[in-house]
Amino acid sequence: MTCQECELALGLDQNVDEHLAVCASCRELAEEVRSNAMAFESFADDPLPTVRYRVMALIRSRSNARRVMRWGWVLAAVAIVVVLIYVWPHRKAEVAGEKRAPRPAGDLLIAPVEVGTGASNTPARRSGDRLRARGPTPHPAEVLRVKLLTDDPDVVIYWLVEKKEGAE
Amino acid sequence: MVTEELTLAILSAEKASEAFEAVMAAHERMVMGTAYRLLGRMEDAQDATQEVFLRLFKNLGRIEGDPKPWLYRVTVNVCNDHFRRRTPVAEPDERQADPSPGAEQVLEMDERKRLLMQGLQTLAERERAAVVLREFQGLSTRQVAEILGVEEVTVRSQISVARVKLAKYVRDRK
Repeated sequence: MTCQECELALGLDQNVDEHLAVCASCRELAEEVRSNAMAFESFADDPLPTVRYRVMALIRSRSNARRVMRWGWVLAAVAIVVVLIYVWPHRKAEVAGEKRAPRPAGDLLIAPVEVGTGASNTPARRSGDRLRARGPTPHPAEVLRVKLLTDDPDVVIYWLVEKKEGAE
Repeated sequence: MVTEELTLAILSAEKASEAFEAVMAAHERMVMGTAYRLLGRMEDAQDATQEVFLRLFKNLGRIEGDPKPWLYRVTVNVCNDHFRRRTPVAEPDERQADPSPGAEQVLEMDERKRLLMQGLQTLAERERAAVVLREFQGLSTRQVAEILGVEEVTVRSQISVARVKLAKYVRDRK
């Protein structure tokens, strides 16, 4: 009987002891199996190294890194919110203020001149501004009305001049 | 408010870390032993054990009850991956495998254990896992079947075949 046939026979659940009594090859193999089983048990006593500290160190370093990352993101988000809450409205207000703010008087440019009735042709000039007055010399007791136009179409300045009686 | 939440998060993380360390202390030898029998090299077993426990830490909240079956299953999977990835080992040196003249009559237990460790590496993946869990770790056939996700009858067959293969391996190298 060959070993292969023995294995087949054992697989068929024949009486193992009867078979081992007549087959030296299987007897030897069975002895090896028994000895191996004893060896398996003795493995339990073997010393084994530990990786506990290595694993714990890895876990701590990873969780620390993760925590730093997480709070880094939180801080970045807070910074963005602060910028949006404080800086952005202020800037918006500044921009709006710049648009609405009246032009300073010094910036007003008085350009054309309209001369009122009865005015003379001699232009009235003032040094330092861009006012020009044209028209006839005002008749005595007549009111000279000068309309001053500026760069701003909403701003018109009327200048009324009345000559005193008896004056030249 | 943020500081309070941060403190709570740190405290709960520390608690989880302590709980995990306790679980690891209780099961490390089991995982390391299984990995060593499956891989046959201590360095590989240490790497595999580390990977198993890192996976356990990630899944700590999802595992209910005894973590042993989960640990065995993951250990077998991780070791199978390691086994497939690693560079092939040269066939055992026959001179090294042959017993010395003095040990010819009596095979020392250490020599048998060394041969068994070598023999395990020659088994098929499923057979190796079955025999390691059943013979080395002392699990029942039903537990092995559950861990490997196969029928009990399959486990019995795998273990039977593995025993014979190991016996032949040791006999041929004595």
